[in-house]
Amino acid sequence: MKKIPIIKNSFLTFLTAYLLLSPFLSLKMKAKTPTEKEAYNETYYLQSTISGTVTDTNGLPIAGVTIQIGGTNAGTISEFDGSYSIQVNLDGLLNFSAMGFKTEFVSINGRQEINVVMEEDVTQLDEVVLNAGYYTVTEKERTGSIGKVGAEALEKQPVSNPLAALQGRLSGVEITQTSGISGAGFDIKIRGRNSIRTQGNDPLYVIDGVPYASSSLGEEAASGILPGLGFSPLNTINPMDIERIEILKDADATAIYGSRGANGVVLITTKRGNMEGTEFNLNVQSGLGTVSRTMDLLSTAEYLTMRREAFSNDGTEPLPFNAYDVNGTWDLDRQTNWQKVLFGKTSYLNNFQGSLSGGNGLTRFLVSGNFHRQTSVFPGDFNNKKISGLANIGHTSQDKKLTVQFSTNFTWNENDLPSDDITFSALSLAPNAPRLYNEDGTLNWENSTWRNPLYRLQGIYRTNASTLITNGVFDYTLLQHLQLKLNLGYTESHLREIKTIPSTIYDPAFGIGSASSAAIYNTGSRTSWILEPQLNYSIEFGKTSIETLAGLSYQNQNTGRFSQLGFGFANNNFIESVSAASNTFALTDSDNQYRYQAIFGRVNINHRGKYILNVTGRRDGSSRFGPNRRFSNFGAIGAAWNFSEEDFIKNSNTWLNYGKLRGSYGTSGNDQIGDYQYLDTYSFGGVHYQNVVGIFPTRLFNPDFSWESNKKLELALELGLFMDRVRINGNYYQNRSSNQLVGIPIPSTTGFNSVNANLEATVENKGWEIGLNTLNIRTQNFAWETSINFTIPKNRLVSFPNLEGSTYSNSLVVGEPVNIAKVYQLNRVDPTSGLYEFEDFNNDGIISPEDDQQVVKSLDPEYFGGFNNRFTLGKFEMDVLFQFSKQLGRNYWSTGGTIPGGLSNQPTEVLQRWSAQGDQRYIQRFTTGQSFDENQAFQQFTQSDTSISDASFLRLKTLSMTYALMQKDTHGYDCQLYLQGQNLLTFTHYLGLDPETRNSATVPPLRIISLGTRLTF
Amino acid sequence: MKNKTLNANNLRLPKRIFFLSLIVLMCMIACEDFVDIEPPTNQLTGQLVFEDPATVDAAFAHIYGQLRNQAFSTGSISGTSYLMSHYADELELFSNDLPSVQGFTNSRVPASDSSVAVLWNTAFELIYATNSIIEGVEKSNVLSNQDKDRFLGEAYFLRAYIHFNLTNLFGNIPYIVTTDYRINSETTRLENSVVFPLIESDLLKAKALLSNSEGTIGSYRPNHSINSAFLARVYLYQEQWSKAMNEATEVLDGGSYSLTDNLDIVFKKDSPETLWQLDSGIPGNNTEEASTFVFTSGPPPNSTLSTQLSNGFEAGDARFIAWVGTVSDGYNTWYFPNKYQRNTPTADTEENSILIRLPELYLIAAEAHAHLGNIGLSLDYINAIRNRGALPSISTSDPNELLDAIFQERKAEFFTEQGHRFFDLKRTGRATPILSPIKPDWKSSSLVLPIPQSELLLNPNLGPQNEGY
Repeated sequence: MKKIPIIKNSFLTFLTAYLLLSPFLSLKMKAKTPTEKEAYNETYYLQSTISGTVTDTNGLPIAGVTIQIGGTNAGTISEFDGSYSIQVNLDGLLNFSAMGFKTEFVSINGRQEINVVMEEDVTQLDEVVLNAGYYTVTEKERTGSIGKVGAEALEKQPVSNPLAALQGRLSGVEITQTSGISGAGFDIKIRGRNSIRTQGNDPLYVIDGVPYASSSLGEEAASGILPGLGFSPLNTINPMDIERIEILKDADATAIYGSRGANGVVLITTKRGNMEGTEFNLNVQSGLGTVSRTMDLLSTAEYLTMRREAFSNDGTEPLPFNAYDVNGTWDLDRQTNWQKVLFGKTSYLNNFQGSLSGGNGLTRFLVSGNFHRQTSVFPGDFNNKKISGLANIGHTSQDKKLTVQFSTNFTWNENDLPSDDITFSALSLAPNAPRLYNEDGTLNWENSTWRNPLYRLQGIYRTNASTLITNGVFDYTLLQHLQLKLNLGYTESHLREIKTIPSTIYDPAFGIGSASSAAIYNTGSRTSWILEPQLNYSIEFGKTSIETLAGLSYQNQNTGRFSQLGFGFANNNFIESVSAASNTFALTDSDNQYRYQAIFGRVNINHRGKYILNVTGRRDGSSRFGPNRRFSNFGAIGAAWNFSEEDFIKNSNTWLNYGKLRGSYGTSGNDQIGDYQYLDTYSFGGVHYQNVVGIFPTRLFNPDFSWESNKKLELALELGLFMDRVRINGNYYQNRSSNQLVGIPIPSTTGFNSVNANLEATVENKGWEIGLNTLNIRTQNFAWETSINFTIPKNRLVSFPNLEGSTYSNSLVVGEPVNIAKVYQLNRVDPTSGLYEFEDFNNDGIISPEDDQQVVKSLDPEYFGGFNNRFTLGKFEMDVLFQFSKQLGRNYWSTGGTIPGGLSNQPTEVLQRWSAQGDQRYIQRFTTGQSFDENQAFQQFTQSDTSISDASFLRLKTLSMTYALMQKDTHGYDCQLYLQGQNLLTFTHYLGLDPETRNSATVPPLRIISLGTRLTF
Repeated sequence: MKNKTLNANNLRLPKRIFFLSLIVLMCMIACEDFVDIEPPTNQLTGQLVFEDPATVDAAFAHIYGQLRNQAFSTGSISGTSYLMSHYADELELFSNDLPSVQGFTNSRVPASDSSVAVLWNTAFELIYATNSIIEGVEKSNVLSNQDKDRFLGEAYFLRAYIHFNLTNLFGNIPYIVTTDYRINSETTRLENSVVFPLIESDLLKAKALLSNSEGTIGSYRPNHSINSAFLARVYLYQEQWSKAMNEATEVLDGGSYSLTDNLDIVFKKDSPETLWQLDSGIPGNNTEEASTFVFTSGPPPNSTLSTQLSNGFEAGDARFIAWVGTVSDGYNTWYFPNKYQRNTPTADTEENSILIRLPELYLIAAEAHAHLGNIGLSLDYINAIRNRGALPSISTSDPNELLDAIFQERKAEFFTEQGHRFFDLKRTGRATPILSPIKPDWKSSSLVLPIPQSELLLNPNLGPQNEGY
């Protein structure tokens, strides 16, 4: 075997020389517009004039077809009537090419007139190769359910988290943004929620073959402003470096990932270099964003009326000392739109991306860098900066036996945010609350009568995160049909967080100085390596081909976190340095290890491309389970029948060009629980007493819990009609998960609020996914494509033996979805007393939660999907994506907050309150909260069926317009101008800030408009 | 070309074998040991904790630290010192940012209230930790008998102490004596007639086990005297007068503690009156109580003393001058509890939160004697306290008048401390007569707090909910 020619020095020399010379080389390599004169000059042999007409399959002439003399740069272009004429030697070759048509190669063979019929080249969907993780498969031969989004869709959105770019594009995949704050995470559910536990639903993320842990390294105490689990590590991946994202949904596709694939697998592949030539890409983008929605709140006049009425209803006279808003202490004429002031600022976004890629057939590379910056909508100087770089090198040996691919992805991110979210303050501050600043610029505390909301911005929350993902894949062909592959990956993530709680958050009149300031410092790091050797073997017996693969997987992950609380500083300027604190003590000091190993295999039998059978299996072991429960086996069978290939179909019609019926059934597991959960241990609690750091029992340990098991069934039908002008696919899936690993909630009398155990319940997720892709119009200059995806998910608790005797007896109902809320039924506001009246289901005269919260409301979506249209008109392209979802959700009332009538602003809906005897309204009488009965009625109202209402929405998710200003063919370089918008319009009836986040304590997703230019040369 | 082919052929076979053997090697590594990992370095295996007295001390340290920071005994706004003082008639709420406390001020709190849940949950977390220590110590083969006695004595005391406070707040409660969550998640609530004997039995066990411990002033951990003092309180609440008197006298005759006339040092770290105080954790830190109650300029950030309380001191009571702070803005005057005064860190800790102090024993003895008919002895004790407060002695032969006077003394002595006022009102039957005129929402069911709603939903055996909620 000859040496692999990747010898460092000569390769680098080669690379440098290539880079330096490429501008000159590319000039030469650019295709020139041939003229007849040049054609004459370049020929040596006897020439003759060949002519003819070029038409399409309908007989219509095609203009602008490039007719090139094979082996030369000479040629001509067809006229409007499809005719052409060219001088060429009679034994030559002509190639006919045009946009939207298959290139035709025609041998002249002595003919003088050659008429060519060109076939439309709709993207050869059948031949599209999909990445299924451990193997690749063509669209035609696929037996599993794999959804794909390519770079062209990712590039059209001004987003910084790749999950945001997937919203509304894939059926069966529900992605919800948790907050409009930069750096916040996205919830993703692939085919519904399998686990009753909220943390157990994450899919497996694999980046260039390396599994990437998506759980946060953050310290809970610090990241209060980011909802959910804090800083999302997926924010560190640059969407512009992604070539495509595949999502594996069903058992056939995910079983090979074994236990970690139970919730689906998200495969991210970064961009690779070109095979030929060198290309330099530059992309510059600027945009601005504002919150997409605000709430309608009371004006000052309405608010004061509410307050006075409340005091009058309560019989409180005179107005109490601390009713500063109504008793004249505050100015009664002030009115401030707090939503505008506190989160209405415009956010600015800047993005610079440059990449260099090239190749020479055997070697190809891509190097790219990106800078992204986005400012915050909060007052002040908060922003999010990200720098990322990607380097990909691939090489194939001369004899094509060895292929190597290296990729390195590095991201550095710094996010500056306030330490607390100010959103809910903006919704609850009285409209006549005092001004924020004094004349001298200091915060106004209005003689200690209020807590200035800007106190939340006095502290900061800063994260510095860096991630390195490296991967190497070696592929060697041992024998003709035997390939050895080795996948090595290494990931390193670091996070540094600091949250400050300076004494300036308090009114200076309290006299609290920097000796009481505190800060939390957290450092977290996670390193993991993965090693996966794999053997592929394929055999052919006549028309049947069999592909097999066998592999091993080893993964080791170490996560370390160290966080401290620093307390007492000489001066608040020193607060960011832990060494300036007069007291420090450790909050968390953990070092967790997780190990995973597996052996897996696949056998794929393909007969004539018509009948395909795919069997996969895997045996997994995880260190997260007790000693006797570590290993488990999983497998799946998938089958497909390309009935469109059957003779009787082929011969009987011309409109069905592709038809496949497929199904799969398989099992998978889930080990997504914390590490060491089966151990009986004591941990350090961070509580000090007499110079000793206290320890406490970490958990209720249970050495017997083990893998969840998940069974998935799928049936699908895929059709391609009219030469793939219409592609329809419909899937039906049914997943059942049992033996669920949950933190079973238990009453506090046990000393804890949950225990990890396997639940005997069975949860079923089933649903329908429909996708439709049509090429509506395709002419020379205009194209219109539509794609629609639509999902109807249904989640159901199938069985739960002894539900009545378990702690879930009041939260789950057999036959209903898992994600339900059991709430009171609000009958009416009593016209006499003005108080809410609820249904007393057991007629015991008391409204109690265990007996009277009997109304079941499902919080899962009924259906959701997206509707995308792409228009191409000459050099101009426009994409419009609408996203929709029909669902119920918790609205503003369910957040509780202050009772209407208390010192807090309210939505204008409260004006529909009961105010006099005999009124029939739906909001109860105003009160300041003096009375137990009114308070309790309000509490029950926030847990009643009115607190859950319609949260359906239709959103103009993405609008992207691109104009090709210059094109490579004519100018030597490509230049595109584009205008993009995200979350531009939202149509909803939701009572609250945003129907997607359904959270009134955080900023809604931003509406972003950006303008940019892309240069390629 | 020829050479190349030759080389390729020659090398192909060995290369193949090389790669195949690599795979076999990997399979061998693929044994199950790969996923066997070491326990984490920041956690201690349960068994090891009970082999060294230092780690058992650390387990206790966590419990006392939480009593100071989070549980019902904390001086912060989630503890009984703050909440139950509003619930009774000692504090008035000023802040507009504490909606939960509004319910306490109204003396009727909904079952969904979060402060109620915190009181309940933190108590049971500590009960679990205590039971875990009891079980671990009993199983240990390594600890000495002396250490075992000491630890078990403290643990039984703590278990009784926490349950006692729970029953005063919630009425019928479960009595948790095991760490087995299967039992504890289905447990029922017990009547006082069952709970009290369990508390007493734990304290008597502790008494025997702690018999060797010294009763030093200002102790940070329970000892013999603290146990007896607490037992005296328990007997008093149960109206077992002679037993209460015996325990109280035992402590008073022990001689370790003494009353002081200098009221300014009563709440300082080295006060001679302190039986049990909670260490502040970090050197230089003072009490949570001071941060909660003390303010220097109006309007008040949290709460002030109620008018009943500020006007209710006897004229000349030195405790009003020493322990009540005043802030005035020219128009309004506000009073606040000034027992704990240091609300910022100081170079060295000056004040710790005190859970049991000597005057309580004097007043327990006075009350017990009064009920037993020993008027003379009772007057001795009550006058000792009155004189200390610069008040003249009283002399009466009417037991009811005497008991009223003792009740008044308790009010002046223990205001805003650990819910003493509310519990005294409750146990003497004075709650409804005194509170219902001033609390519009007061009902007879207000004598106990509601069981947290979330608990009843998870364990229906804890039902039915307390009446009126």
